[in-house]
Amino acid sequence: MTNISMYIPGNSFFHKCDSRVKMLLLVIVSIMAFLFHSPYVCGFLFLTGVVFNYMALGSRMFRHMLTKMVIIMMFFLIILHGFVNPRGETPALFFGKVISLPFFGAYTLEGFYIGLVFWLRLSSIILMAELFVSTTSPSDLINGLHKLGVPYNFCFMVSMSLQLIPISVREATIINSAQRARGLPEKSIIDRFRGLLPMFVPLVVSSLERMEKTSMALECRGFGNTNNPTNMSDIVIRKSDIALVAVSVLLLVASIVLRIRYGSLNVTDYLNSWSDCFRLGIR
Amino acid sequence: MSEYVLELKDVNFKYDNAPSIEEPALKNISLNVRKGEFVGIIGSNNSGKSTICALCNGLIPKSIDGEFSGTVKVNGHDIKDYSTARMSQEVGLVLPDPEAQLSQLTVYDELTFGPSNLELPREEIEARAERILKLIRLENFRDRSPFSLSGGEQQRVAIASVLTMNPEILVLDEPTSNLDPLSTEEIFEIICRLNREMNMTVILVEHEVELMAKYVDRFVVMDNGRIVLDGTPREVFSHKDVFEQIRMFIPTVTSLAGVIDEEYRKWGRHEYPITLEDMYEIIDSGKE
Amino acid sequence: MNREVVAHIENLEHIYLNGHKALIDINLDIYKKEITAIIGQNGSGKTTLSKHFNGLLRPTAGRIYVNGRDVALRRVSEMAREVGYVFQNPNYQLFCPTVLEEIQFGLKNLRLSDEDIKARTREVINEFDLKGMLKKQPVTLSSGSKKIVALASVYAMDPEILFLDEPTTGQDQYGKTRLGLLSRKMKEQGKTVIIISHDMDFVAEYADRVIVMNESRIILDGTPAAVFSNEEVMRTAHIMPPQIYAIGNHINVVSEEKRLSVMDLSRILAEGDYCV
Repeated sequence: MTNISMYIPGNSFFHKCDSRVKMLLLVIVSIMAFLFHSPYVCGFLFLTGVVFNYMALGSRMFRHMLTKMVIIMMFFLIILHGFVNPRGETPALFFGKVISLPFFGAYTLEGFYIGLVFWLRLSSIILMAELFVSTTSPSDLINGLHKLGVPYNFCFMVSMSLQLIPISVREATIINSAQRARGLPEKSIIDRFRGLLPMFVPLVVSSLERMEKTSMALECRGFGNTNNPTNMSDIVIRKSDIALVAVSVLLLVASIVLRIRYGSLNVTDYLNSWSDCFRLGIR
Repeated sequence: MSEYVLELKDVNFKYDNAPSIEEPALKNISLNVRKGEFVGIIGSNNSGKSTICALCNGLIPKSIDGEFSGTVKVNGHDIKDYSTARMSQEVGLVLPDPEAQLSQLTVYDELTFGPSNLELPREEIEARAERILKLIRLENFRDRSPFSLSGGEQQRVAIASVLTMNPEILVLDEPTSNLDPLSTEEIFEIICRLNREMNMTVILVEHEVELMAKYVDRFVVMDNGRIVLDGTPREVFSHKDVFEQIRMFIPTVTSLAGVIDEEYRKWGRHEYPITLEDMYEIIDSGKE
Repeated sequence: MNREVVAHIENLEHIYLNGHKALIDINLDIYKKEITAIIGQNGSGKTTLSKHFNGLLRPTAGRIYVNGRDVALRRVSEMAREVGYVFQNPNYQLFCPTVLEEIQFGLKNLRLSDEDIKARTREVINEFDLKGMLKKQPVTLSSGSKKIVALASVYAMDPEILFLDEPTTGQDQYGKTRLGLLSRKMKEQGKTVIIISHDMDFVAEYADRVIVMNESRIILDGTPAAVFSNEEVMRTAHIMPPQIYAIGNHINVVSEEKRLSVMDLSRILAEGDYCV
C-alpha cells in the first residue's frame, strides 16, 4: 500500500530519537535559517541536513521525494533568480562570456547569490522535515503529539486521516471507472470536469458509511473509554536526545545573539563590488 | 447466578434513523444462550439479525438511537448498567466489512488497541497480543499494515483484535459476506476452533446455511423482527413449510430427503441429513 | 445449434505494472443469448478479464473484439453502449437524487431524444418493477434494491452484453432469486449476461455456461454439469461444487448436457438407479 507518510523504517540514531526532539530540531533549524542571509550559515545548516539524513537513511535518502524536491529546486531557484531578480546588476562571466536571455537580461551575480541563499535556506528546512517524517513512524508521531498535550481524540483523528487518504484515492479511482462504465463522456476537458460531480456523491456516501462502520468497530474496542491509553511504544527520551536538544537550543540562542549584534551576516554587505570577490579567487 | 450467558427478554427495538426500514426491527424477542453454545442466526435481510448482534454488547441502546424496551443481560448483568468498553470485555463483536473495522498502522497495533483503551499494564497487553497472534495464526503479519491485507486476512485481524479484550462470548455479524469461498472456510474454521477448543460461546449470523449446518449446535431463524424457529439443525430443517413461507432455503440434502420422503423411510431412516457427509453416509449404507 | 458470437478474445494477456501476470493466453468466444458465469478464486483473473470487455483495462498483448470491433480502439464511454457493467458495490454507481434520474442518467449520456428517453425509461420501470420507488433516493434503499436499481440503470442503455460483478453478495434467498429471474428475462430478450460469482448454487441454477479460471488462465469451459462434475478441476481451482452436484458426483449420475435438478436426483435416488 502507498506510503503516504513517507516513513522509511530503520535503526539509526534518529529513528530511536523521540519524535518531540525531532520536532524541536525542525523548529530550531527553521528559525536559524531565516535569521541569517549568509551562504555560510545556511550552507552549514544545509550540510547538517544532508549529513543527518545520510546517517538515518543511507543511500535511500536520494530516492526520497523530499530530496528530489531539493534537487529540482536548486535548478529552479538558482537559475531563476540569476536572471529575474531585480537586484541583479553585475553580469556573471562564464569563461569570459556573459549569458543573456531576451527580455530577462543577463545572468547576474547578485541574482545568483540571492538564489543560492534562498535555496540553501529552504533546503535546510526541507531536509530537516525529511529527517523528521522518514524516521518517525506515524504511531510515534501521534504518541509525540499526545505527550505534548494534544488531546488523544485529536491525535487519533490525525492518524485516521492519514489512513483515509490512500483509501479515498482508491475509492475515487473505482468510482471513476464505475461512472465511465455508465457512459460518462470523457472527450473534452469540460466533460472531465463535469465528470467530477457524479464522483462526489458516491465518494461522500461511501466515506460516511465507512465512518459509521469504523466508529461502531472502535466502540467495540473500548475507544473513548479513556484519554490516556496504555503507552505501547518503545521510544523513550535518552541522554543523547537531551544532549541533542541542549546543543540545538544553545546554537539557537547563540544565533539570536549574533543576529542582534552583527545583523544578518550578508556577505554582500562586506564587498565593495563583486570584482573584489573574484580578484581573490582568480589569483 | 444465571445459567445463561446471554438473556434477551421481551426486547423491542425500532431504529430512529433507518430510511429503508419502516417497521420495528425487533418485535418482542426473547432468547437465552448457554455457555459454550454455538448458535447460528439465519433469516432474510432486514429480519433483525444484525440488530440482535448490536444488542449483545450494548451498542444498542447506548450508541445506536432508537426506541428500546425489554432487558438484555450478559452473564447476569443488565447491559444498560455498563459502558460499551466494559461490555466489550465480555462480548466481542465482529462486523461484516473487514476493512472498516481496522484503524491502526500495523496488525500488532490493531491487537493491542483494545486492551490499551482499557488502560491495562503493558506487559499484560503484550502477552495477550502474542497469544492471540499465535491462536489466529497471524504471526507473519505482525508488522504489516492492515490495509495491505486481503479481505480474509483482514477479517482474521478484526476477530483477533476483539479477542485481545478476552471476551467469553463472540458475536459475528455476517463476517464472510464479502469474502471468497476459501476465506469463508478459513473464518468458519477459526470460529469453530474457538468454540470447541476454548469453549467460547459463539453467536454467528450468516447466510451460508449449508456451511453453518456443519458447525452450529442450534439455529435461530428470524423473519421480520421475530424468531420463528429455534432448535437443533435437524429440528429446524424439518419445518420446510416455515422456510418456504419466509422465502428461505434449507440445505439441498435435507430438501432432497424431503422430496423422496417415502423412499427415505424405507431405508429405515427417520432423521433427515443436514450435511453432505450425512448424505454420503446414508447413500453408501443404503446401497447395501 | 446456432450460436452467434458477440465477443471474441484472441491470445489476450494482461500484465500489471508491478509485473504480475493477471491474464495469460486467454482465448474465448462469448455467445449471444446466454448466461455465462466466470468462476475462480480471488486473484484468478476473473475481474481483470471482465474489465477488458468495456475497455476499463487494455490488453498488454492479444485482442478483444466486441460485435466485431476491436475494443482497444474505442473509449470506455463509447463501449458503455454495448457493454453494461454493474459493479459489485452499487454505491459506487448510484449518485442521483431519485431512482428515476438514475435510470435516465445513462440515456442522457447517449444523447437520445427526449421521446426516446421517456419510452425507454417506461420499459425499464416495467421490466424491473420500479414504479413504487421512482421518487426515492437511491442511497436510502436496502442493499438488494440498490443492486436492482444499479442493474436497471445500466440495462436502460440497452447494451448487448451485461456484466454482473458478484451480484449475489450480501443478498438473501429472495434477492438472489429475483436477480436470477431477471438474468433469465434479459437473456430471453436477446442479451448476453456474464456473471462473475462465488455463489455456486446461483451459478448452477442459472448459468448456461461456466468458465473456470485459475492462476490467470482458463482451465475449464462448459455447461454447469460438465464443470461441477469435473472433480479434479474443482479441486485445483479450490471450488466447492454445490451440494446437488456433489451428491450427483458421489453417485456418478451427472451427465454433461443436462442440468441436474432436485427432482431428477430424487428420482434417481428413489429408484436406486446409481452406483457409488
